[in-house]
Amino acid sequence: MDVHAYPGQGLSLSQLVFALNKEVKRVAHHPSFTLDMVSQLDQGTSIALADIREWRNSLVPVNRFPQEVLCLIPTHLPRESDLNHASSVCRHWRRTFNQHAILWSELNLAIKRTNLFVKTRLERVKGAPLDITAYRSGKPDILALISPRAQQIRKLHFPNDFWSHIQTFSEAINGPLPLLHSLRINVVDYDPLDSDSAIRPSLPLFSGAVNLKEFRSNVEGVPYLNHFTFPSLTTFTLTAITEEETFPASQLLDFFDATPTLRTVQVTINAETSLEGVQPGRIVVLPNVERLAIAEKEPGYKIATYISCPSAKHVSLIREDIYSLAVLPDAFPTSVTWNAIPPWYMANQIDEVVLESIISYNLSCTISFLSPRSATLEVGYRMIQTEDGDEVELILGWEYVDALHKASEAIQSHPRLANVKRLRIQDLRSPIDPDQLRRAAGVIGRLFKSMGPLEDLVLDASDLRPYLRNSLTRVLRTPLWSLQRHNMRRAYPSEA
Amino acid sequence: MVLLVTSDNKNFVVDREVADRSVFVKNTLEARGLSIATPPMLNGGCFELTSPFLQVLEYCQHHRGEPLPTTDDANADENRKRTTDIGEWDRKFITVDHEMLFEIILAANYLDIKPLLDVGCKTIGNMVKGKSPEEVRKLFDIVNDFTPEEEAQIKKENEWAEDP
Repeated sequence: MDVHAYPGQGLSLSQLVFALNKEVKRVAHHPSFTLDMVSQLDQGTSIALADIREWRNSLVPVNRFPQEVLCLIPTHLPRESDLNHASSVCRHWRRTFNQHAILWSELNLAIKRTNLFVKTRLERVKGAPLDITAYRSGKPDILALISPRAQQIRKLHFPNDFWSHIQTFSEAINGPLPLLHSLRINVVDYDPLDSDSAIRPSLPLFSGAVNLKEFRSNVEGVPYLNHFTFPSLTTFTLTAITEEETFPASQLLDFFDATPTLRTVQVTINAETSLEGVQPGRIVVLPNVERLAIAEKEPGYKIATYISCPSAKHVSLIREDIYSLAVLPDAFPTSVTWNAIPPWYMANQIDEVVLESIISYNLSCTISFLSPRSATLEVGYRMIQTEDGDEVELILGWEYVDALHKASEAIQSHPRLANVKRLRIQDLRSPIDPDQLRRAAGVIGRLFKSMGPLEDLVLDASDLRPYLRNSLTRVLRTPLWSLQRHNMRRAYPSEA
Repeated sequence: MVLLVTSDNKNFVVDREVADRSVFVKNTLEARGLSIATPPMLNGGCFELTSPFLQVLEYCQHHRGEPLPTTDDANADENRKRTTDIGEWDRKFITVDHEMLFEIILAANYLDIKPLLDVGCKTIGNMVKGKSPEEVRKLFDIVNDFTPEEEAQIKKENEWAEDP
């Protein structure tokens, strides 16, 4: 029995429904009602019905949540479409989510996004920060909508664009960009089907971003760093890939010179480096950089030679190249090329040496020299597969032995290697035949011998151990040593 | 030890470390200098409090000693939110029927236990993820309460709005 009284009328709900039905039946088909009048009634009824449904929805358990809790649910939805769907579930959800501005901070300007879509989103975001992802969206009408909101932009990401569109976007938001703290650009090279792709930047880009902290640039071709100035930048990542043009080192050095605030720098250059315009002996000092990683296609640590990072805790200088069937010459420093690495990257005393080789989908062999104050210099070689994006597991037995051999020589020729206390070998690779493994163990064994007494020797994830039995017993002078595989300590009491 | 008394007069004696997982309880205890906090009825006493409170206690006991989230790390907060990943133990813990899930979320909100509130909301997020509005309605017993005009407007606004 329905006990809820209809307020003010003394009717129960079921009585009300019955009365409504009766009234409709009474007036239905009366000749005095026109089509328009009945249509009006139909419309009025559908509104009333929606209101009753909204009332019903207010009573379902999930809608007992306070608004601030309900609003938390879509904050955990990473996909934009899920947020759209959630805000289209019912009136209560739509009202609640649409009023919650920060839910709409992410604005995705995909190519087909309409004006209405962008306008609606900007209305919802109100004054909250905007995180914009722009896909070749140089449409003037869309940019006209974004332009007045420039000061709200917090993050800007161009996942796949031409310089021309990036410049057009930059011009549209010309002026102060006080909130912008992250800029990521991914520039694709010339597209014969799009004449815009040939246009190169001619103006300063995003010059209003005086508080930008993070700049990540991934560029096919020249990175045009001379068009960017960010006085507060702390994190800079650059990947430049080009076969047709040379990479202008002067652009990078000038950019560094204008950005003394940098703390983390990661540069990968897959191109020939040009030193044109770089004064011999020029040194750019980056006083605040704690981590510096430079991967160059060319040997000789060309760019690193011109940079000084007096506060760096971790420096990585890697020769990186696309997959080939041989370990490249000059993959590691030799006694000659050690001199090319500026002394400020090397600590006076080396406590620990780590030799890490990984062969699975890439071949990488690196050496880290750790100082007593935990400053690290990493040098080495990385061979990557980027030609068609298909990863193929490498079976490079001899290349592995060759890489270990060269790395081992590089360690032995390090100019400040006296008094090393610890040696760690980390060795992850696809299975190779026992003969190659024996050769590799021979290389490592000779390295042990050259390094003299050690306090600690660690073999991580290495199958070389059975082949190193003789070398180990001769090298170790203290009882402390461990053999580890996938972080599981294995005890070998007969040898310990 | 702390004595917690629920609105339906059930007593729970718990370690201070466990009780402090709730910012509400922690602040109440600190403000009053007492060892007794009484969380009042949740949501007007629409449901029995003891049952979700037991669940909440189980959660607090499991996570005792873990660092409490701070409010000053904006990036961590952002990363925490834009994910629906839930730890193994939490996932098992929160695998309950809808009614209990809602009650746990309400209790976590009231008692100000942010990590538990996150786990609850992520769980609902996981239910909603990838579903159409109609499927979400079905899931939570919601009916479509939009008029045809409102539906047309939504459709227009969301034109070309699917993920790129």
